[in-house]
Amino acid sequence: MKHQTLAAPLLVSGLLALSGSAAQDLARGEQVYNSRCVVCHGPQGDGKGLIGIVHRAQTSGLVTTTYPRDFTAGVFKFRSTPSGQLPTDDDLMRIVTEGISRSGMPSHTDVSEADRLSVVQYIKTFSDRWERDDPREPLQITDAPTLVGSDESTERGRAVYQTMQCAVCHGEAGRGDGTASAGLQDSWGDAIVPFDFTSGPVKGGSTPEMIYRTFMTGLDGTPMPSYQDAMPEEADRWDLVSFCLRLMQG
Amino acid sequence: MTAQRLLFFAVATTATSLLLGCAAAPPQDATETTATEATLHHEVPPGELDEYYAFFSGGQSGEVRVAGFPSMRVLKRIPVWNLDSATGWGITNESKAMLDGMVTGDTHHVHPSYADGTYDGKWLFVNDKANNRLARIRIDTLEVDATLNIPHTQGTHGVFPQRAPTTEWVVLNSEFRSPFENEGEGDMLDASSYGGVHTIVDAESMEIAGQVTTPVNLDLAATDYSGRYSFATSYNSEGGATISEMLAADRDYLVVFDWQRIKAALASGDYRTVDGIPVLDGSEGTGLTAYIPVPKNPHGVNVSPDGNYAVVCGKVSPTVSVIDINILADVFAGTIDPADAVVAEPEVGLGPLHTTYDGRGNAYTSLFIDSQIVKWNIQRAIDLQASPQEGETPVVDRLDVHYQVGHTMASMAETKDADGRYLLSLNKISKDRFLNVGPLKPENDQLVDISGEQMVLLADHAAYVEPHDVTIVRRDLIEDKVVHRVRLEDHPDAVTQSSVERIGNRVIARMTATAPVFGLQEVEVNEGDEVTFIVTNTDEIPDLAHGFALSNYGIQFIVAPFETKSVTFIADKPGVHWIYCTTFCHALHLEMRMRLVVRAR
Ligand code: HEC
Ligand code: HEC
Repeated sequence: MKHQTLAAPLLVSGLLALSGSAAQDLARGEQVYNSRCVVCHGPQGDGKGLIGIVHRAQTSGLVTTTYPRDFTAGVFKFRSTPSGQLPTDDDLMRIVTEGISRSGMPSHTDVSEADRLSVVQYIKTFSDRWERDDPREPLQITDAPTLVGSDESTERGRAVYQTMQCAVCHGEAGRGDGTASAGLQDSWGDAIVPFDFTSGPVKGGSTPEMIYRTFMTGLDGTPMPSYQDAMPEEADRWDLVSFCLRLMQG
Repeated sequence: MTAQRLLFFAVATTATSLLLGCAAAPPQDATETTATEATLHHEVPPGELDEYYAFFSGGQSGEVRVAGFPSMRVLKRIPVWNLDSATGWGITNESKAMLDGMVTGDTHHVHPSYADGTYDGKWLFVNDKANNRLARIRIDTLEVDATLNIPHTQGTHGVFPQRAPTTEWVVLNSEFRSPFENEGEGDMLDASSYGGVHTIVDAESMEIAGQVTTPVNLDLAATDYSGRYSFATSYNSEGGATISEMLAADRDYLVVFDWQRIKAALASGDYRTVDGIPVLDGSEGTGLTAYIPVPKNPHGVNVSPDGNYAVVCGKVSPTVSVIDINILADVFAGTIDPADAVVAEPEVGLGPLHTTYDGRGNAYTSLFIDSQIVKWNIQRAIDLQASPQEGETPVVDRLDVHYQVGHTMASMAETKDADGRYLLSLNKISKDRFLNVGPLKPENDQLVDISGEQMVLLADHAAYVEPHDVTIVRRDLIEDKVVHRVRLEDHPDAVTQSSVERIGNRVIARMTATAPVFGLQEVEVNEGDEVTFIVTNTDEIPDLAHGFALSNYGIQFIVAPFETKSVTFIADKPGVHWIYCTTFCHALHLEMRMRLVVRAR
């Protein structure tokens, strides 16, 4: 099978060193991109496809717009890697396969795995950061401890939420209406609102492990910071997950 | 008869003008013929909102219509018993589960739920006279959320929710006497064994709390303002099966149901159980009911906003009967005769059908045969009954309507907050009032200003067949309750990640719809597969709906933001079939489509 040549952490060595079949895969990736991605992410990979606005949301009268990702910046939100690092190929595959809920980034389960793998390689050609950067080191996230979701853990998580001042952006009740929520912008200068926990699913996945990952890695390119250093205690982190889950129950 | 009636009118009209002459009426023009000026405005300027919601039944269309009132702009048609190719009601799995395969229906009465005698903004209830069903509409989405088959009944006509303290019960009447256990056995032609049924439904659980049987038929329904009684007019106490037989007797009834006694019987197990439903005998003498005699073949029953009187319209009698609700307890206690509960029976005109109120002591009765709304004063009718005075009548005013009025309803008139501002005359026949649209003409809903002493006709509004009834509800009681967007998780199968799953020959395609893309670009199946599409609109912005139309398969629906709907069908047509968005959603809306590929076996 073709995609086997592209196996695993690969390509850190740069595009110049491509083998013949890898080049073929890039060509395939370009085809897939032009068939399925270009209308949103644009021929230059700068997020300026014909679709323009993909997703609009309205919170307390403010309408925000989510634009397709600009791949030339080499900045990604939903990663397993620490803040500031590029995502792993697995991260990209997951995003491309499953899509990003509530953002207009569709899933691509109807695209063959080989084609998804090749388009993932192709989108990396839009930024030379992929050649420059060090290898990525995914965070090790264990399975959520069983206490997650319990009343005690939730109550402790409420305190962590206070100490970490999540409410400044997300609001006391998690409605995304904290004091600092107005006027937030992402790295591209577009208005962005903190997630309203009571409004439905999160973009990055709502399992305990995914919530953990979100505040540990931060969402690069957005005001949502990483709390990896600020919250050294593993127990605090899982308690905060419990509280986030409770907020999401409305 | 007719000549007599005309004479009576002449007298009545003169009396009315005399009365008005003395009243502090608005300054009149010199010429006597000039109509009174309307004091209310019914035009709503562009961009402005109406003062009321009007909830219309849709009659044979099987739907409920929501209009802004008084502009009468139709804002929404809520499919209830009908198939709606736009929203997919009757096509989607969710709606099919509530329709039992029947996509016809006949809605007559829409009533919102109550708390303490006024509307609480929770639900609307509407009947299906044709197939004996009750539907509940959630006010927060203005969509049907529950339906209920009413067994043992036919002609499920009158429906009314409890008015106080809150709507725990909703009652329904069966107008067509029929065999209770209607299973095709025994002498089915012998109508003497048929009966009527007063069904009590638990509003919250939408289950039948009990059925009270009567030997007579039960037509229109009402409840009192204290949570103690419900009412049913009965026009066929003869138990006839043909029209001649139904008109034989001189007197028919207003049947009153005593809820205290019914509750006690239900609690003590004093009933028989049929098909799991507690069935109580409501014949005369059982104590659960009172049979108040009224002139033959009555029609509507409406309770005055002060809760004191139930007014029964005579239909074939030119009278209305005023029943004093406060002395019904004595009737049930056996201390007074049922007939004594009727405290007035004024003549109002030909063909009285329904009565509505202004909250200032006046009643407005629709006259089908005379094509009029007649305004009369309740207290004056009672006084004149007690001490009749030659040439005196409780009638205050008459207004010609066009033509053949059925229901009439004033703003907030079915609540203790009746405000006496607008009245709607729901006329069955429009005849020459609108451009000709062929043999089946629209009806004519006429808007009337009742804020003054005299009624003033404000506007004609054409309506598609056949809104029987309407309730007119102050905007502030509803508007805040209605959401802009449902919660995504309201549907257990809401999709946030598109996928295709195959289990044997079943294929489940879960799909998001976000302007302007479906979460899948193609789905491949084999001819004969059972295919389910579950579609969630993941756009969050209010008013950004998406449609789903599957070419050649007769499948269509709309999903509003965060809404999920599903359809299941057999892929019996091989080939490429485009699925496209039917709701203009984006500049690239036309490109919002995908393929269903069905491989021939
Ligand atoms: C209908 C428009 C649309 C299409 C088609 C689309 N995307 Fe996206 N994509 C988006 C939007 C919008 C975002 C940004 C979501 C956000 O920031 O929340 C995005 C984000 C991404 C991201 C960034 C994830 C991250 O962690 O930051 C990747 C990678 C991506 N898309 C890859 C693809 C690929 C590959 C394709 C084609 C196979 C594709 N997209 C097709 C709209 C689209
Ligand atoms: C400076 C403002 C800010 C602070 C402080 C902040 N967030 Fe966020 N957060 C955001 C923004 C903005 C987003 C939305 C990102 C997007 O939609 O792309 C977000 C999104 C999220 C999400 C949803 C991600 C998804 O998958 O959709 C979670 C969960 C979250 N934040 C948790 C937290 C927690 C827990 C804290 C405190 C430890 C916190 N945030 C502190 C701004 C902030």
